[in-house]
Amino acid sequence: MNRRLELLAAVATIGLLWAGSAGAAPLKTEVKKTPLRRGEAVKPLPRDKASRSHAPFESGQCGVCHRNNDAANPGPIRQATVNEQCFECHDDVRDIMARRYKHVPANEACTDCHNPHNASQPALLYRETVELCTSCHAGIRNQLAKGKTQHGAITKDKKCANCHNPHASNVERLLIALPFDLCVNCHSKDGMVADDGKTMTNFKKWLDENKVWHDPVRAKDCSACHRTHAGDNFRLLVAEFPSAFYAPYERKNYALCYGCHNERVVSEPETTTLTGFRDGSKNLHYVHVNRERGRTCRACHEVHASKQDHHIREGVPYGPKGWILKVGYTKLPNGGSCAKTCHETRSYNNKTLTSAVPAKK
Amino acid sequence: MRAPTPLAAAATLALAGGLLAIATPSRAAPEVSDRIDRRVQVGDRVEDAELRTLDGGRDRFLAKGAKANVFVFFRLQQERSLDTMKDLARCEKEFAGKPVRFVGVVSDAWPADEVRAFVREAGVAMPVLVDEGDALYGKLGIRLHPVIGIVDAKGKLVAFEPFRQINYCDRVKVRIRLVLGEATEADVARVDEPERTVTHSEAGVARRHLNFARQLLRIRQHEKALDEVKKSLAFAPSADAYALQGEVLVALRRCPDALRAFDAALKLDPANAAARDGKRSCAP
Repeated sequence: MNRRLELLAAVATIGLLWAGSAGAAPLKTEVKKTPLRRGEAVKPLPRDKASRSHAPFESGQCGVCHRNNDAANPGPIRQATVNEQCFECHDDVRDIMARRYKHVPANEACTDCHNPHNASQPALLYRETVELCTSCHAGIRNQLAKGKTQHGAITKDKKCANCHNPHASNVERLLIALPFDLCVNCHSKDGMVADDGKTMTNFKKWLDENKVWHDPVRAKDCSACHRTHAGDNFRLLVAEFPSAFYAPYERKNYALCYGCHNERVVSEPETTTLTGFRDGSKNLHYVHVNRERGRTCRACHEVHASKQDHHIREGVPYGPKGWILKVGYTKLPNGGSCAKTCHETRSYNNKTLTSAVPAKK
Repeated sequence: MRAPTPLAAAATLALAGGLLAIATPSRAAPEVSDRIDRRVQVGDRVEDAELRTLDGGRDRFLAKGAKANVFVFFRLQQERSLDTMKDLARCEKEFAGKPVRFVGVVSDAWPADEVRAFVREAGVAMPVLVDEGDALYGKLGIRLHPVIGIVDAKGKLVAFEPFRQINYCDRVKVRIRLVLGEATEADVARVDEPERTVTHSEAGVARRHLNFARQLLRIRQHEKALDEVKKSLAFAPSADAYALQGEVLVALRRCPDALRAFDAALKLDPANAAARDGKRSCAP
């Protein structure tokens, strides 16, 4: 019992810590552990309310799990713990529970989520999947209730179980596989349309055609940038990111990129260390971005994958009709150059303190 | 935070030639580009440097005698850096007593008092080096925070891990263990590409039916047990299933049928003890 109290205390503490930091860290959400389900909570539903039945219960063989094979007086379960009782038949789940990351309730008692007799839900869950999961995962419930956009993955098919294994997994957050391997299950077809009516990228195709991958993509870590349940930002991004070509520079608008990238790459007018996009010590990121009509990251960079180094894109949709403006970047031994499109052709030199641009007389 | 002075900028450039010796990796270029900007690449040699410490002393970037030098570039006011440092505080304890040296590197643009408070909150014991003018950051081409690198005893960069939302700590730990000789490349591959986790498999369902049948036999529900064995065999024929079928048939006093089931079990597994014992129980 003491161990159980310790466990509950630990879970509650994690919940509080997560709640305290919600918002800044995308995957940390409040967890409120509900009390262990026992006794009345796991008794059989009336037959007319149950659409699924556990085979031993359905066949009236109470003695498979209980000490007495007598429906009128089944007595306690035969094994010392609920899970040991279940594993007598479900020993494949015992193997599953040997995986690296374990769901606390599954490790504790199968009956936290399943009714061992009968139920109205698949897999003898005692509630509908999302309701069940969010009865503890209050932070996710909150996101789903308040987020402007809900991820389709959580409302379709197996819902939470599309991406998570509710028992145990080899991947953190009980993911069935690394995020990209899950996301690409859906995001690898043409013609998917987002809530805003825009066509979504076929990522398999895009990544096949563009071999310079953004590091989180290479690490299959989509959730580094995207919320996976619900959110308020464009494309379920974990933080703000300007969606247009031009935007006045404000640090908070670039919170997504600054989740990893150093904001000083845009805030420092002069540098020889923070970026290679500099002419001498003149920081060209600062020049382009840090202004009232600043060019946003997307003006020059592809966020997932590109054909060129530094994730420089070949062209960018521009204007109300999305006409493609060529970026015209060329990598040079001492830096690079941009051909005439946004401005006259210009080169930069990042190997010395001397500008590639001749000083004005 | 302040901008570097022209003098600091010039000094940083002056360091450019000496701080790092970067060799071109000899491996063939993979299909997907894994060279990112101009940062030091995995496989490159990293030369040591001496930097000021947070407490006013001086310390080396790489410790002599360490089999694994683990460095982390972090910054303040960033939750990912704080989370990572907290993870590393646990890592430090996990690798205590082993030839692993952890070191943090932070820009001198951050006020020292704030860095101290951050380090205290993270709970790390590692020395924290102050990167003046972001010289080391610039030379390694770090670009991101947090970033964890691992340098082996020969000064070769063996891992460079920017922040990951998923399995970050596992990725770092297995690479440290690889350097220490406690893990293999296969272990690293298992962490980087973890096996997809499924709950439902036909083999699992077959086992459930078989186990259920065993319980039904225990409570002498022989006909029902026989049905469950048949369901198990329909999913995945196994010696255990045939042997149990034989046991149930023995209980039903159907020895000729039981013998056929035991033979089927022994055909799949000649050493199956239950089938051998069962055959003896049916002997005339």
